Amino acid sequence: MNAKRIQLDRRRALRGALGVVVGLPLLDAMTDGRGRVLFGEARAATKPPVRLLTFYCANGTWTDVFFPKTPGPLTAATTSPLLTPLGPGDGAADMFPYTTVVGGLSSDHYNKTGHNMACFSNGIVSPVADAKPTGPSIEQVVAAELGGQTRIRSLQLSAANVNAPISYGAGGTPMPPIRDCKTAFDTLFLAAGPPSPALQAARARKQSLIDFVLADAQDLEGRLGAADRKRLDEHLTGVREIERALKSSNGQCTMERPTAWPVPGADGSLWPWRPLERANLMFKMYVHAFKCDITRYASFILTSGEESFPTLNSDMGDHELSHLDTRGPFERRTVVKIGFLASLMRQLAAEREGDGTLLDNTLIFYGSEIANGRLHEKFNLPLIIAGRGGGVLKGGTYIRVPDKTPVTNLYCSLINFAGLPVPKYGAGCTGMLGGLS
Amino acid sequence: MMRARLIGIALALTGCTGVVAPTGEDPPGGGDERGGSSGASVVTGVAGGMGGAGIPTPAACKGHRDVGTSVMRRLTNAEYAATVRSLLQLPAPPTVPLAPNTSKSHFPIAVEQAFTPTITDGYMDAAAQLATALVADAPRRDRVVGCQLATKGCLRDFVERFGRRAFRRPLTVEETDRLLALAAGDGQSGVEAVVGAVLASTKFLYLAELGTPEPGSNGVVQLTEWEQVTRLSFLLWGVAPDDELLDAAASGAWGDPRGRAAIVAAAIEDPRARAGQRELTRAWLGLDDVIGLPRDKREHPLWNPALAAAAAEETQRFVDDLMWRDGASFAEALTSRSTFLSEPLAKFYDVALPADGSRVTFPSGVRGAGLLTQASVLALSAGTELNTPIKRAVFVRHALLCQELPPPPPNVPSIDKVTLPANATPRERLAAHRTAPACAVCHNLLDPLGFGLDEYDAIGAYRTKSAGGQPIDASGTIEGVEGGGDFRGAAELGALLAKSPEFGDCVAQTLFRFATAREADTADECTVASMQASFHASGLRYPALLGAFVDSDAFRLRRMP
Repeated sequence: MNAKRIQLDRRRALRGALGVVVGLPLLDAMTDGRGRVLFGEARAATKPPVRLLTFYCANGTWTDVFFPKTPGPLTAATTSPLLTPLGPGDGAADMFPYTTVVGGLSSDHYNKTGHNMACFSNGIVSPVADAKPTGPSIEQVVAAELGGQTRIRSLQLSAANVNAPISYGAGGTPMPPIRDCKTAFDTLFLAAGPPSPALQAARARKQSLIDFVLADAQDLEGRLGAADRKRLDEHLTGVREIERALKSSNGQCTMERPTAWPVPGADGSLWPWRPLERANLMFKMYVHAFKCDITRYASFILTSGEESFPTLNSDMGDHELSHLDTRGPFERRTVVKIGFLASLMRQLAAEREGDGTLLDNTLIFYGSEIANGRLHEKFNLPLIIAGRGGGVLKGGTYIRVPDKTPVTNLYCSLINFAGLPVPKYGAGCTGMLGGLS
Repeated sequence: MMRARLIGIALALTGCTGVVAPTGEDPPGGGDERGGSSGASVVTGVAGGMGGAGIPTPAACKGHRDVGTSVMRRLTNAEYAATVRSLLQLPAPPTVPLAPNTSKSHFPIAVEQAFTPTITDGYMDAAAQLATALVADAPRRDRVVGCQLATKGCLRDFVERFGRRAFRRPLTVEETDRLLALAAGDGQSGVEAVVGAVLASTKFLYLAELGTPEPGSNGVVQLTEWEQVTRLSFLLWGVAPDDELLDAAASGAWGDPRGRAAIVAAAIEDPRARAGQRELTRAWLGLDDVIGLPRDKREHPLWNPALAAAAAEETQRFVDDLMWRDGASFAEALTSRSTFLSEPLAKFYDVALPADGSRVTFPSGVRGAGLLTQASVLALSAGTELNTPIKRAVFVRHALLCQELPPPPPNVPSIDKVTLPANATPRERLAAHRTAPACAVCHNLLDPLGFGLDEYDAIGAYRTKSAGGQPIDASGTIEGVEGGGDFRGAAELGALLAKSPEFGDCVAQTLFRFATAREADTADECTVASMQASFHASGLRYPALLGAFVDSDAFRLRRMP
C-alpha cells in the first residue's frame, strides 16, 4: 500500500504581508482567492486535508450484538442491534455509507486484565492495567509532523467526568483533555473575528509575557540535569506553541459564541456528567475547528468509566454495569454512545467541502480498548472507522480481519491515511491493514 | 524490629497460588523484585514500594545516607492557589484553570504531571489575570507593593521582595533588571507587568532543586538552605515559605541544628499545618471522588451531592482531629466512636447534632470503627452487592495497610451461577468462587476481610439484611497482617487493624509519598524505616511522624534523575 501523499501547506499560499496565517473555510480555498474556481492540478494541490479524530468510550460492549452477523456490506438491512443509530430513521441521514466496522483486531493475543484507556489509540503501551505509554498516541504521531500547518496543533476534549487522557505526546507525556466548554471555545475561537484595538493590545501584552518567560527560563535551562531540562523544555514548547497560535489568526471563519455554558452538575441533575449538552457543544466545536482549519488532529472522550446515564434512568456507574451478567442496560448504553458518534458524523456530513462533505475528509476512530467489559477481553475489539479519509475508505462495510491481528496494524493504517508514511509504529505493528480501502 | 509483615504471593500463570510468607532481611538497596517476570511478585507497600526487601535494621541504616531519584516538579494546584493567595493577599484562593491531576493515585506524583500547550497557556493567562486584578484593587495593591510607587527605588524594592517570595530565594541582579525592564511605564502598569511575569516564570511554577553536590556521592545533592525551607513550607503548610522562613535561610538560623529544630517544631505547631495536611487526607482517601460518586437513585434515594459533600467533610475533620489533638493516636482512625458531623449527615446516621457543631459520640457501636464506619469511605469502596466486599478489602489492603495485590489473573473463571441456588447469598457465591484454585489465594486475603464491613450498604447506611433480603453475617478472618485473626463486624475488624504494625507503617509510607510526590525506591528504605520507627515509638502521634520525615535524608537530599 502506498503512503498517501502529504498535503501541501494550503496556508502558505494564504500568508499575508504580516506573516499572519489566515484561515478560510476550505470551500473558499478551493478558489484562487479571487473567486475563480481552480481546476486540474491547481485544484489537486488544494485537496482538503484529512482530519483524524480518536473517539473513546470506556468499558467495551457485548461484541456479539455489536458486530453484524457476516462481513460485507453494512446497511440498514444487515446492521447489528447496537449499530442501528448509524442508520436512517426519524428523518436522520443514513451514516452507514460512511461507516467501516472492523472486527477481529486484538491488543493482545490473550486476555490481559484490567482497563487501560491509553491502549485505545496508542501502540506504544502494554495492554496491562494502568501501564503507562512510552510513546505518542496515533493522532499525536500525525500532529507532531503535520500539525504545524494549522493554528492549533491538536485538540483534546472530553465530556467525561474525570481528567484521564487518551492522548499522549512524545515520550508518552499525558495530554489531559479540556473538559470545560468555555476554555475549549476560547482556545479555538477567541482569535477569530475582526482585529480590534483591545484584541491587539491583549496580544501585545501576551507576546511580551512570552518573551519574558522564554528569556527568563534560560538561566534555569543551563543549570538543570537532562531529565529536568526535558520537563522544562516541555513547558517552553507549550509557550512557543502559544506564540505560534498568537501570531496566526482564524480569519473570519469562526463559530458563534454560545450564550450559556454547560457546567458539570449545573442542570440540577445529581451527577456531573452531562453528556448531552457538553458533548453536543464539543461536537460543534470540532466541526467548526475542522471546517475553519484551526486544527486537524484531535481526540475526544465521551465516557471514561464511572459515568451514570440519567437519561436512560440508569444510575449505576458504567464500569460496574459492564461487569454484570445482566446485559440489557449496558447494551442500551452502547446504543446511546454510538448515537453520539452518529450525531457527530451527521454534523460533519452536513458541511460541504470540496466535492463532498467534511465527513468525506475525516477519519473518526471510534471504540474502546476493551472488547467485552464483563471479562476485560482484549480480543475482537469493537471498533468503527467513520468518515472516508479523503477517499481512502469506501464506507458501508463490515470488514473481518483474521483473529488476533494486532490493532497496531490499524493504527499504522490510520496514521498513513492521515497523510504520514509510517514504516513502524509500536512493537506489534506488523503491517498495514489489508482490505480497508 | 524485624517483622514478618509483607505478604508474599507467587503469581503463577494460572493465577494467585502463593501463600502468606514472611520475608527476610535485606540490606538497604537490595532486592527490588517489582516488575520482575520471575513468576514471583511480592505484595509490596504501595506508598513505600519497599520493593520486596524486608525492613532494614537500624544497624544497617546507621551512617547510611541515601535517597531515591526525584524529578523537578511543578507546584500542585493546591500549592499554586495557596501561594498566589498569600503573595497577592487575596481573600480566598483564586479559581483559575490549571493542570488537571493526571495521577491515578490522587497523589500529585511529579513524574505523572502533564505538559500541553493548553496547560502552559492556563498558567500564562492566570498570571496575567491575577496581575490585572491586583492593580485594579488599589488598597490590596498598596499592601502588596508595600511602598509609595512614586518614591524613588520603590519599584526595585518591590521587585526584590516579591521576587524573593515567589522564587523562594533572592533574585540575581540580572533577574531584577529583567523584571524592571518590563516595568517601563507608570508605576501601576509596572506592577502589573512585574507580577504577571513573576507568576508566569518557570522559576515560580517549578521547584528546581539544584542543591550543592554531596562529596563522593554520585548524582546526590544536598539542598540549599533556601530549598530546604521551601520543602518544609510546602510539606507542612502547602504554601511557599513566608518571609520569616526565608529570613531563617538567609541568616543561617536554619543551618544551625538547634535553630533548625526550633523552627521545625514551631512550623509543625503552626495552624497553617492543619490546612496543609488536609491535602494529604484528600489524596490518601481519595475524598474528592465522594462528590460525584454515582449511586442508583431508586436503590439509594438518600444519596445526593449535599450528603456526599457532608460525608467527605466529616472524614476531613475526623482526620484533622487525629493529626492535631493533644495526645491523639492514629490508631483511633480505626477504632473511634466519635466524629464531627453536619446536619445532613447527622440525619443520615440518625444521631443528634450538638448545637455547637462539636464532636459527636455515637451511642451504639454501629459507627464504632472510625474511618471504617464513615459514609465517605464506605461509599467510595462500594460497588455492586457482590463485589463490594472485595472492593472494600482492596481499599483496606491498599490505603490502610499499603499492601498491593496483583491484578486478577487472565481468564478468571466466571462465578458459576448454575451450581448455586438462585437465592444464594453473596457470601455463598464468593465462597464458591474461592473453590477455584486460580481465585482462592487472592480472594482468601480479600473476601473474609471485606465481609466485616457488610453491615453497611453502598452509601454507608447501616443494614441488617443484604439487598437480597438475607441476614448479614459480618464475621471474617484477616490473613497477612501481624496479629490478624477472627473478628465479627466493623469494630472488631478496626481494632485488629489498628493494633497491627502494618497500619502505622502505612501511614508513614503515605506521608512519604505525599511529601516527596514520588514512590519510594530501595534507596529510601532507611528513611521510610526510620519514619515508621519514630511514628510507632511516639504512639502514632502525627506531629512526631512529620518531624521524623524532616529529619530524614529524603528531606535534605535529592538524587538527580
